Amino acid sequence: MSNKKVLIVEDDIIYSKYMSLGLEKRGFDVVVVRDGTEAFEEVEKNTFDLILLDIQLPKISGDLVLTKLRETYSPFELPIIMISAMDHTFDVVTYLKLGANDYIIKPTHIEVAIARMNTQLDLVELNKRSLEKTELETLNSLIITYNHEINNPLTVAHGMINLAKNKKDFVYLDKVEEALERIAGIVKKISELQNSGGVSKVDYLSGQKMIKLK
Amino acid sequence: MLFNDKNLVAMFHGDEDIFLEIKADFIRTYQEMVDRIKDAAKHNDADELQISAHTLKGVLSTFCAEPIKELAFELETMGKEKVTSGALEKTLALEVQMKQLIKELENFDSSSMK
Repeated sequence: MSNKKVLIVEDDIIYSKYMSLGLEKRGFDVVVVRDGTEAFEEVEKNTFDLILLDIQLPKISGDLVLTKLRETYSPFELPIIMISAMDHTFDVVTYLKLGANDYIIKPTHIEVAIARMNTQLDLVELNKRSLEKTELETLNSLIITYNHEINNPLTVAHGMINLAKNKKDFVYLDKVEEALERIAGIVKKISELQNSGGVSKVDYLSGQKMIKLK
Repeated sequence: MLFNDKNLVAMFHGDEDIFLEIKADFIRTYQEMVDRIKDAAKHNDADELQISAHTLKGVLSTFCAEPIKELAFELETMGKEKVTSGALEKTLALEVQMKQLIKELENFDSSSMK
């Protein structure tokens, strides 16, 4: 498994060195930058698993850096943990509302910081697996839906065509047309799901689900 | 002692190598940090006073040097509130304490951090 990559945005050279050396020693890959502009450049060039972001930075303040990053990356895509000095009037609620995942008060012992970082990294992983599972379930439901809704009229159409051929009677073709129209209707409903913003499912057989078509 | 040795050992426990490296950085660069504050105070540059004092405050925090950290915080606040009168005297007092802190850190036995 590859090391997790962390970006530290911190203008305090001593504290950032404490954190970067401590994290590297414990198996993280670390990049350190001193301000928001450098942070944006790094995030553009490289993929990070987590960012440690100081609230008080030169040029662009930490809250503005956070806001800008959140325009592109959700808390589940890129966890951001704020770093604050103990004496700051640190409005935790404000930063969490802006999209920070958590915060640490410096000087925080490296093990405490890592515990909080790992919690966020685990949540990202959990969310990723949950999304994959949901996608797979939806795909399965779609396959079941196609099989159920389309298979029946297809069977009817097939049967009617055979009857028409055997009895050489065009009257059966009306039934074929009905079945094909029914199939076309189902296909159209399934296409419209794309614009509906979501799918709801109904129970099918043996714990499986199919997609509910209006 | 101008720093809390118990807190410092707890902070760097298991990482004496890291402590020694950043201690060396601090000893090498502290005077430059103090000079930045002094220059800001001499030139009544409130913004620079705030920024430079804030930087030193952060470093002192890492070394668990609470009393001097408070002094740096006072200077940072003065800069933030655009009050530079009295800043130079406070900075000179800070400088004296800083020299003492550096001596103590140089003599500090960090072997208990192993």
